[in-house]
Amino acid sequence: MAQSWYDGWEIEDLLVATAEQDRAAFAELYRRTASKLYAVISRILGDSSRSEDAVQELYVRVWRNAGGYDAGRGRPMTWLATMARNIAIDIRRREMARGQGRFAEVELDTIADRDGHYSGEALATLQACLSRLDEDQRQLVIAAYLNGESREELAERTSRPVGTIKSWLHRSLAALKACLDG
Amino acid sequence: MADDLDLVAAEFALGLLDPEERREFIRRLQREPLAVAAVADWQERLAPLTATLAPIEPPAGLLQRIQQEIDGPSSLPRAANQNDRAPMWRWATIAAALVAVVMAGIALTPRIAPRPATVQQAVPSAAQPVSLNQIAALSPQGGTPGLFVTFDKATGKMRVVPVNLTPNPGKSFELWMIRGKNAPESMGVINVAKAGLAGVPHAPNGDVTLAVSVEPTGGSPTGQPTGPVVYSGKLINLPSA
Repeated sequence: MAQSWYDGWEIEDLLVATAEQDRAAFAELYRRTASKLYAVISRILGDSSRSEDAVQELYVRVWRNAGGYDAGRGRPMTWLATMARNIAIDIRRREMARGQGRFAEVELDTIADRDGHYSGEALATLQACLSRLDEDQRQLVIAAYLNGESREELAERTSRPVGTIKSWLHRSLAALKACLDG
Repeated sequence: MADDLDLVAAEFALGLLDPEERREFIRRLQREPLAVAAVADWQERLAPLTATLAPIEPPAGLLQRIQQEIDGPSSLPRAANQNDRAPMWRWATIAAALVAVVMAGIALTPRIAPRPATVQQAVPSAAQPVSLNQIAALSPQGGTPGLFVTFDKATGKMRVVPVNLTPNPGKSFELWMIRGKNAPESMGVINVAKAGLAGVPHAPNGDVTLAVSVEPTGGSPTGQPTGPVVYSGKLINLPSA
């Protein structure tokens, strides 16, 4: 595609048009964001058919709910990623509760910006603040956010009681907040 | 217990609360704008982590399946099924919607004309996160909030976010700021359907109450409230970010 009608449109503009039930804009929104949101969901759910269903659920919801999101909201990718995580974590927790979950343990990777959705500064700050945490505690935060692991899974990952995980997380999150906001 | 709120908000944002704790926190989100703001802040703090994930191309037919579900009559039975298992499914939407309210408050659009006669509709533009300094939830005598108002010192703007305002035909809602014991200052007429911005001549400080009165269409003819006050709330300071 050489020149698109949507050149120059931000994701936010596409969301506004989607709220007005503009199908072409919705398709463009999908084209621009699906591979990233698929990655977010797939990291939490693993299995590809489960992830595909969740991505479908996500975009149907985006189509139906985009109108609830008014001008001037926060970063649109944060909103989309939050919704993607919520949907995937719901599925993960429900299946774990039924004993159906089979989730591969995922290695934690280093933080590198692979796309331009977040400013280099935001990423560098987060990276610097995460690196100030102890290795174990950093892994807890990343495993909870990216892998969608529950307290119980985090306890298993680190061979510690759930109560310990809870207090470690509290300490890490408080330290992270102080560093990021400071 | 600001610290405690912040930690629960973080755990909620991470998806770590157990079902009971989560229900409890969602009830809290419905009452406490500060809790909503705390969750939104955590989401913004952590979201850059997703930049570490390598994109995965979805299968070729997926967009088409989504479009079919959007159009198709099959969407109705599917929606009904989802309601059956609502307790697990719905919280994500509720949470996202609540948080969207706050996100509307923390990302203001600076290119807005000065003090309008009406609370102006915000123009969509690149969202610029800015510091949110103060917030008020305006409720009818302690009931469910009808609107949120946030104030950002950097831009000198109030953002008015209606969440549950029922239009009153032939009448307008007008927003007032009351500093201490001073006479109410009009902040403009509220558009019940859209979030809007209002310029504030002097930054609010000290004891500030915001109130909404019912006025003739177009606003009070006298410059002071003439109809009943239907929503009110105190403007509270948020910890500086």
